[in-house]
Amino acid sequence: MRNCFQINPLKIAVIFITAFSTNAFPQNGEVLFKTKCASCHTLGDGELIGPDLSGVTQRHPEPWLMEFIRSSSTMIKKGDAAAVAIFEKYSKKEMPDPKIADNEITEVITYMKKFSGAGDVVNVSNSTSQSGTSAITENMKPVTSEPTITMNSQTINTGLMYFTGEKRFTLKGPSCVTCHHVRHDSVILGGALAKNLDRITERYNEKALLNLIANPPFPAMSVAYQDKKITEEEAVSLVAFLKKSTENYAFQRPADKQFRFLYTGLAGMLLFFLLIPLVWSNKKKS
Amino acid sequence: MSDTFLFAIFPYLAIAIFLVGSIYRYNSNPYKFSSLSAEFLEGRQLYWGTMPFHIGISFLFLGHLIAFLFPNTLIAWNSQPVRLIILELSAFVFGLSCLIGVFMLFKRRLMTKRIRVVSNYMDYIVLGLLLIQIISGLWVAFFDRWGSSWFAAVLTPYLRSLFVFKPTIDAVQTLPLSIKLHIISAISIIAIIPFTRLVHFLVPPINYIWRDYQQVIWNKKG
Repeated sequence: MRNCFQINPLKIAVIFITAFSTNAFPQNGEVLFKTKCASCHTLGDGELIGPDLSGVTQRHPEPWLMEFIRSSSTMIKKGDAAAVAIFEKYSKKEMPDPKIADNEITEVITYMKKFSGAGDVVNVSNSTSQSGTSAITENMKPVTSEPTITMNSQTINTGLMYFTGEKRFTLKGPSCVTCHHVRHDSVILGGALAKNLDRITERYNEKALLNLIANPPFPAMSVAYQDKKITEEEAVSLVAFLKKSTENYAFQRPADKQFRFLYTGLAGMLLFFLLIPLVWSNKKKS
Repeated sequence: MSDTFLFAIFPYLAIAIFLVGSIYRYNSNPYKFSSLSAEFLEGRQLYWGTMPFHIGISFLFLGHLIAFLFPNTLIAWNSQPVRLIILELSAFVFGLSCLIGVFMLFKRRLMTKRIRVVSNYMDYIVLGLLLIQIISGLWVAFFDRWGSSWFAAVLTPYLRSLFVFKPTIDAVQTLPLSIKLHIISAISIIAIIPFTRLVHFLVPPINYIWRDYQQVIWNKKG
């Protein structure tokens, strides 16, 4: 009977490495582009946070593109002239490493080759997806026209409520305060997992912010809102709120709640230690 | 060590070691399938170590389990800032209690001669891993807030992807080092359970709750 449990750990490791290596699940270039690139780049619809990538495969050789996509920051540090020029042109914002395998980068480049210039642009939203990818590519059309953000008090307050979670998103995604902090008197101490959004509209324009919310390029945010996309209307009110919080940044004086949290926690622990012998007084202590 | 190994392969290795090791140990030495309590050798420090540790870890384990099983309910609960703060503060208090408890247990094992004699190196490894686990958890709770919400939104999909044998580690790869350390130490603890006193976790004395009444009379007061 015991022989049933005699398992060779080396065999198990080989099976798992083969089966679960990320390279074992390459995705097609279109899906990868839409999930990893589309929040900052378009293919023929103009600039967002980064450049329009139609014709990029003609502007740069493929090995250069491979290296740049793999880690643009490394190329900038090495002083590559073209990489530095892009960095300088786009407000010195480094492109985050997409953390995808080389074969997947090749797929993205192959997909981008279809968009050799303005005249050859394929309609991204209508292009045929491979089976199983339709769910991923839904609702991912980038915002390319200049958005209209109505800065009235109702929109701003709705944005505030979406941000704090007081009002739930239609598809029940987590509120922004879960991971982000923004300096605002009416916002509790925000999360610290993701970027601090203080004065965010000074760093990103409205179009870019709407794209970041609609198609988050950050893997954690992308997972959090998978199947729970924030609607366009919700995104607009969030951007209105963030714009207002940037304008009012200097006038906000929220209390420092970080250390209040620590002190309350320590006080709670002391109380807990006092309660232990009261509740479990019959347990033998020596 | 690559993230692919740590977050897509190591969890399965840990579960395999846990299952095979537990069955082997139960078959080979069933009478040692317990916490090997040393309460009769020293009781006072044990009380102040084990009580806060066990109460704290039980609540924290339950909290993580709820976030895994009912992520949407947890996100809905946390949508009200007051409820979020209450939940996070409670978890922080239990985490601090765990830390003090493990520290007391570590001190007892190192400093009490009678306990040191009956200790083996695995006891120290367990306590060391528990310390790493709790300190990284407290670090996350304080510096990478609000874990109860983003656990449900980001880590639950990762854990579920492991259960359906399609590990998706994109999000986990980008998390701060403290969270990665917390995950890896948790997986390591699962792997070493069969080789340590932690096997008592698998044989909780549930029948203790409804067993017949017994009167215990100590022959010495104290």
